Amino acid sequence: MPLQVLVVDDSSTVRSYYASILNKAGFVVDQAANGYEALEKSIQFDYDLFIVDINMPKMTGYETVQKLREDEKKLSAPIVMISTEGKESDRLEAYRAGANIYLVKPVKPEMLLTISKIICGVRSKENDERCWG
Amino acid sequence: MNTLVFHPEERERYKAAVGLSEFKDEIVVNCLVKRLEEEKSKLVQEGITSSLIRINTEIVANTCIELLRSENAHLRNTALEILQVLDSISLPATKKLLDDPDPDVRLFAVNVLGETKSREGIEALRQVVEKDNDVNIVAAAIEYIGEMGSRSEDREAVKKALQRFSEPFLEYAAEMALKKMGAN
Amino acid sequence: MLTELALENTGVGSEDMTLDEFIKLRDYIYRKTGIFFEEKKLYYIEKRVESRMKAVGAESFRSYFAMLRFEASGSEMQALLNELTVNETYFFREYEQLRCFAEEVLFEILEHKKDKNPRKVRIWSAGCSSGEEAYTLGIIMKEMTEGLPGNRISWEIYATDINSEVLDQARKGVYGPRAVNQVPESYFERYFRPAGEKFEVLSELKQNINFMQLNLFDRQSMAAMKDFDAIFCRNVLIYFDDVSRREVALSFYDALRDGGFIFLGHSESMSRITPIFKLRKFRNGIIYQK
Repeated sequence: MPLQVLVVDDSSTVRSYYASILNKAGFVVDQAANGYEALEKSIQFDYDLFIVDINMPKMTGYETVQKLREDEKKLSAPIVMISTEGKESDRLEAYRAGANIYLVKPVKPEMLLTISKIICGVRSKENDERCWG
Repeated sequence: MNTLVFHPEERERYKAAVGLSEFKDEIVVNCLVKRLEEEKSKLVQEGITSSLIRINTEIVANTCIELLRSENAHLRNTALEILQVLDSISLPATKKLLDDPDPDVRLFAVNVLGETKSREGIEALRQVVEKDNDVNIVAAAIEYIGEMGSRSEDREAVKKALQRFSEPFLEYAAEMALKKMGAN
Repeated sequence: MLTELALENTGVGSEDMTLDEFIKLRDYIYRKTGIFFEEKKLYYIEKRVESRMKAVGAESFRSYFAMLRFEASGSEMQALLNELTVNETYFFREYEQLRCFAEEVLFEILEHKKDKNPRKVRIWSAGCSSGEEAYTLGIIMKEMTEGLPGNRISWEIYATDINSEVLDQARKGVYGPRAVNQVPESYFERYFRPAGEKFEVLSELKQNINFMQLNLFDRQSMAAMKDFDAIFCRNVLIYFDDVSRREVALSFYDALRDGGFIFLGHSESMSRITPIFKLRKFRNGIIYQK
């Protein structure tokens, strides 16, 4: 079964950028333009991974992740949060909201791919070599 | 009418907020904005937002520009929404924000301009693509140019941005925008 | 008709819509309305865009898109959406959602009123057009509430539209075979009788349904609509611009009693319009609640 990912970002370019990277690796990618859409989609479908931008209109990324975690079934779903800054305080807030990993944009393809695979438990010798040297 | 905004019942405050859309005075606008900052009820907040949009004056635009710097994310986002709808009225003030040292503020300005229907707005976005040194902001502006741009200057600006940054994401954004603007 | 910016964009385009053009349009529509068209819909979209291009006299996709994008009134966007969304109306349209209403939501509504006598259910079919939805809801109410234990249930449906001609048609309750195609067999026999080549709804069904003219933007008339348990406004809001859509949605919120439900078309998302409604997941659907 291919892994299902939900990408949440208000920019269509960012969403399709992540989608193109992840599609090549066999992930099936759905998109949501804001937190509300993300919640609606997550109610209807099961995702193996969420990638959520912090800086979004209507509902912030933090709120989106908090609400996702409120659903029991998603307590352990892997969530990657992406921000424009690498501030320590933002990082902390992301983890407090419930994110597993915090990345800074613009994200390099290799980073997104490796993190996504690792966080979903997809390990391969290639992955390990890249990550651990 | 102003005092109704302090009514204990949510529904009454909502109706009051909506009723105030008929008035364009500065006092009313300031009152609505202040309530927006303090109001806890989503319904009333929405009523205020819809009234501010209907009022549609420079004062509304300028007050919303200030709100973009608020600590409260919800307020910032509401201000953004209102400014986007106000378009030409908010244009001059929005353009000024493009020189702000805070990248978050500049990004807001780009997102407001992204909904513009004027050539002046597109020009401003093109300037961002040509001059801003934050790669995420340039990428955001490029996305909007892709949708709205039509002149060779727009295409050239996007191509030049590729030379200023070497980020895979920016290359992707530029490629998408150039495709949308069409070859030639 | 074509704005200055649109004129900048004229050029000789090829006949078929290219993938890039499709994506450009698709991304824009998604951003503005939340309606997402997959790539496999390219042909579907292309045909309808061509139809609009002819209607407005656009010589190329580029000039058409520029018009769409820069027009101050936004009326071409409405016209395009009209073309793109299926707006054929018929009985039992969006069956799954109606099922959710009949089998799940309705019982929650009745439960909420269990101590009232009679238990009065108020439903509003907003933008009812020629009445198929209103009569469908009437059939559902009759079928689901007759003979139920507990306090007597009474119900009424308000069916409103801005267009008075279409309301006259609705009051007559006469429909052709296409409109009644999806009516379950037993209901069809019970609630319709032949009227020449068409079918007429029985008067016992018409009894509890009030057709009235109403402009959703008229604040005064909207203020008079109160205490509804459910509002059906399916595939109506997509045709309004952002500003109007929010205002109408807020009016709907105000018109519902606490805990009331609002039903939109399956491709519509209320949260895009306003965050004030709660999202409720039922077995057969996702419905918004006050």
